[in-house]
Amino acid sequence: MIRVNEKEVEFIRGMTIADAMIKAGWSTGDGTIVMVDGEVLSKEELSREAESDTEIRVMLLISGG
Amino acid sequence: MITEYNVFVPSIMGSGSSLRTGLELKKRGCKKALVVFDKGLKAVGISDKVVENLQNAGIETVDFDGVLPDPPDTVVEGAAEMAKEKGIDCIVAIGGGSSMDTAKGINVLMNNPPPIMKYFGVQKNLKPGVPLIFIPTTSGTGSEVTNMCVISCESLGKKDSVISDVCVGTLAILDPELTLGLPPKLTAATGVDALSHAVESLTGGHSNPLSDALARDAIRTIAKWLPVAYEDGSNIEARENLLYASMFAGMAFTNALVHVGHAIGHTLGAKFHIPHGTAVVISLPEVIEYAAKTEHKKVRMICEALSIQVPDDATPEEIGELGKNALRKLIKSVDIPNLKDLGISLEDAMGTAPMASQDAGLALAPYRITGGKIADIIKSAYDA
Amino acid sequence: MWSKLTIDMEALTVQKQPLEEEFQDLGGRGLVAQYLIKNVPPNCDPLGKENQLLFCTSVFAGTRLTTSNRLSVGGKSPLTGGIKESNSGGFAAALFADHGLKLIAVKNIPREDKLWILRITSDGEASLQDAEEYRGMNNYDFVDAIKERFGDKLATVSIGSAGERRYRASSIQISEFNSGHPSRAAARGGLGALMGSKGLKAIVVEKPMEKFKFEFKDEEKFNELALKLNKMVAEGAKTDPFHNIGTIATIEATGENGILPVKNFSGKLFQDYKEVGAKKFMTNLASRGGKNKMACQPGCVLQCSNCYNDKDGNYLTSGFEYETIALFGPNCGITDLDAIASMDRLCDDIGVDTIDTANAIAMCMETGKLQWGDAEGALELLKEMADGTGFGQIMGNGCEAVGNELNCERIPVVKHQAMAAYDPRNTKGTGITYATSPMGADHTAGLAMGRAFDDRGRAAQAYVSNKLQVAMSFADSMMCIFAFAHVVPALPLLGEMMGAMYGGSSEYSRVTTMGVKTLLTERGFNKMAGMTEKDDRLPEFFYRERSEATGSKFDIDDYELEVLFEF
Repeated sequence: MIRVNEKEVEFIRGMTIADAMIKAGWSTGDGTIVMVDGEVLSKEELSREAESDTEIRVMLLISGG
Repeated sequence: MITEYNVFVPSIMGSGSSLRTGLELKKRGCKKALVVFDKGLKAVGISDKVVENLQNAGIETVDFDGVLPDPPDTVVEGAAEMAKEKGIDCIVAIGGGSSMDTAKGINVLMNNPPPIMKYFGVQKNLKPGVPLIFIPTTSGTGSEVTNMCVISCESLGKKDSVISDVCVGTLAILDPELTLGLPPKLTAATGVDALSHAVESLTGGHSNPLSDALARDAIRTIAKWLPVAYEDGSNIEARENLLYASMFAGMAFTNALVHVGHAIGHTLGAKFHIPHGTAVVISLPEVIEYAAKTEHKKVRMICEALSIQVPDDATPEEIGELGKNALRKLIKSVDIPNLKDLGISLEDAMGTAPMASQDAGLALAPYRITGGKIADIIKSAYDA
Repeated sequence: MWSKLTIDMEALTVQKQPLEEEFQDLGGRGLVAQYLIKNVPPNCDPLGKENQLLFCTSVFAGTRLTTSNRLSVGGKSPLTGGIKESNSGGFAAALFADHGLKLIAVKNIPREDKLWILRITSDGEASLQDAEEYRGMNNYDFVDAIKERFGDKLATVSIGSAGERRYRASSIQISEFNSGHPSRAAARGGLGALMGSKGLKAIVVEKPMEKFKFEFKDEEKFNELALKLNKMVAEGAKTDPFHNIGTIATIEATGENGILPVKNFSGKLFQDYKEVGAKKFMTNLASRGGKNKMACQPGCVLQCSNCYNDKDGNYLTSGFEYETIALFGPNCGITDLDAIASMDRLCDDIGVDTIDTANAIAMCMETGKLQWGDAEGALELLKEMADGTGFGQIMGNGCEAVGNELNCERIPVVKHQAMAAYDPRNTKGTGITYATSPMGADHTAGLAMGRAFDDRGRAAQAYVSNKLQVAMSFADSMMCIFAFAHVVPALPLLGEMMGAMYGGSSEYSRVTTMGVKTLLTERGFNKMAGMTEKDDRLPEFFYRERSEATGSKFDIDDYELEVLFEF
């Protein structure tokens, strides 16, 4: 089972991180920052194959600093 | 400024084109169509003709005749549920903005869970729906070529838009013959709605050269043919021109968006139950006078499209005044009432200014406009 | 009832009095504006006796609302020549509030060239104490010395050698909650110099034995509302990159879209921005024992601060933020995150604004004094600032001073203050904020990135800048703007909270009026200080040069800026 922001998403072999995010209703667009099991991913790395039993955290930049 | 033009809908245009609907659906592999319309359209036989055309082409049809003006979310949600149950694989909407917006709302809910008010605003990540075919019968909201639908949220008591690719039609079919039966008052009201779309998209902060070209042509066409169609609804040439002008205006405004005229119109319309077209055009002349301060080049284009000669050395203020007067003349020529005619008091009308100044449409205004200035505009338009 | 401390640096007296009735329900930026317009002549010499240095706690200081203990430092800015409110986190405001203090006003200048500390002890006594032994001491040594002398149940608000030297880019550093590091900064606008001109080395405020009890109009209701908002912030924090990573996460967006400034706002893209990005940062934290998710003030549930260690695992710096990293990094062509961390440390230590200082380094690189990417060279120049050499002093006066000295043609300042790490051509709304904010080129005053249809387009930019500038005016009077971002869906509750705390209206309009009034007051002050329309424009090169990443110029019509503050 993959969790995207604590929401469970069915794991399908071959799915990418991006696939899992989109399945959970998230975008991979501008201002999105993704961490998988505590590791920050670059945009290119979102097309990496997801492993079952993964914590994906999708974050949206809403303010500047 | 670097600008973009993004929303585009493939279209088929011409008298009789609505009879191609069946073949076009077949081409796209559709088998079971939800046909969306209102009872009025059924009564005049237009929806029957389209349904027959679809069935003739071997497409199974499911009727939804419950379209209401200012589509309520509850109606849209009910229709979507029914559509999913019936396993439809495409939607055909016939009618005015309400039919088309209802259809768009249903399409949003085909693969995204209700309630629809969750999706108000710009939505970049909705799951796609099914092929959407639009057959407008008014000229018009231009909804057949836009990426938005306006839905009334019953529980919140307000209207809002869903703006998304899922609201963009797969195909627009513009058959002027279907507009022959539009009565004069509706012809005028929908015609000035299209006019507002064109005028505002030209003068707002998001305009681009392509939407400008479409808008100019629409204004020129409406100026020439709306009075004709108003006097003689059976004039097919007038109807053709107006239907395409409405489409051009829709294409213009879905890319360039609208601003102060619609902000004031939404507010007046909601408060005093004025039909949309009338409400948005009522202050349009004053709005372009205001816009001329920074958009005088565009207002000059509007004047020229209205066949007004503008001296080369005219100041922005002068251009604004010329534009205002020309636009008002056109609106009056098709008997659009003003606020006084509608029996609304000046105080009540100006009292809507604070609310109008909160409308998000002001984000597209060419330069900041205050509630006070909006009140002035309303005052000036009140008995004009 | 809130109190104020008035410190007269000429008479060397400290007076505690009730705060004026008209200021009771104000705080933070709003209070700075109203107090200054009434008490400081806008055309005074910022380093002279008529200017006042203000420390204000927020409207909701001392309450259960998360992040309500921000500190607003105010005065006429020695850098911009206009009104300045410099907003900071840290521990001090919470302790001021615990002492019942809404305002500390420091007026006049000492007769003799001596340094003083304002000490507020745990029994609430406030007095000026000789600080000569700390003269020339920088902030890190200073907080250690204070800790040794007075213990660690306190907060410090201090200037380093930069403020003592009256550098126009000098900051006031505030110690962080828990760690005590002097790494939170009231950085913008040279208020460190103002503090230096008052002969005030620091405020040392101890945790009071008896916490001040504010008499709410309806405390139960207030706490109920505060809890609601706190929950929203805590929930929002879960998916907020600032909580999960830190403000450095911003670079992941700006590096992609041309908003990240590169080599003095050349408008190019910088392929190596990832070397100073979130991934590198988190990897270094993990492998070196650093930390993030730290609160800079007690009770903060957003926790965006951090502690960054060097490659040997030793503490290097805290509060390591996007602005510093972007402006010392890609804007200088530098890709060494550790070198940038050293720069951050040095700036906090001597007490200078990293934004103005980093832009000053970019001036040196643009004119060939340094090579682009020369981190070592940059560090050498920062050391010159610390040592007060001839050029070091010019550096201390910030980007414009260095740019003028080196005849740089492209000086990215508005109202003499350097721009933050958002290229105004690719986030035009932010550019409008830079141009029109009474604060000068200030991104926190109204960051429009992501809020218009197209950051590089015209539509909605002025609209958004106006709305944000009003919102930030009242947000900076109440709480941290990062937490504020999460309570936006429930803004009317802020009005209700004002009513529940202070009585009077509970309408949201009370809050928005505060925002508008603050902005208009600030503009009024600036006008009287001699600013004109010309000060509300970006430097000419942004109008003329295209960003190479996007082809955009800052081609916003002047008229849209002129009418921005019509209400």
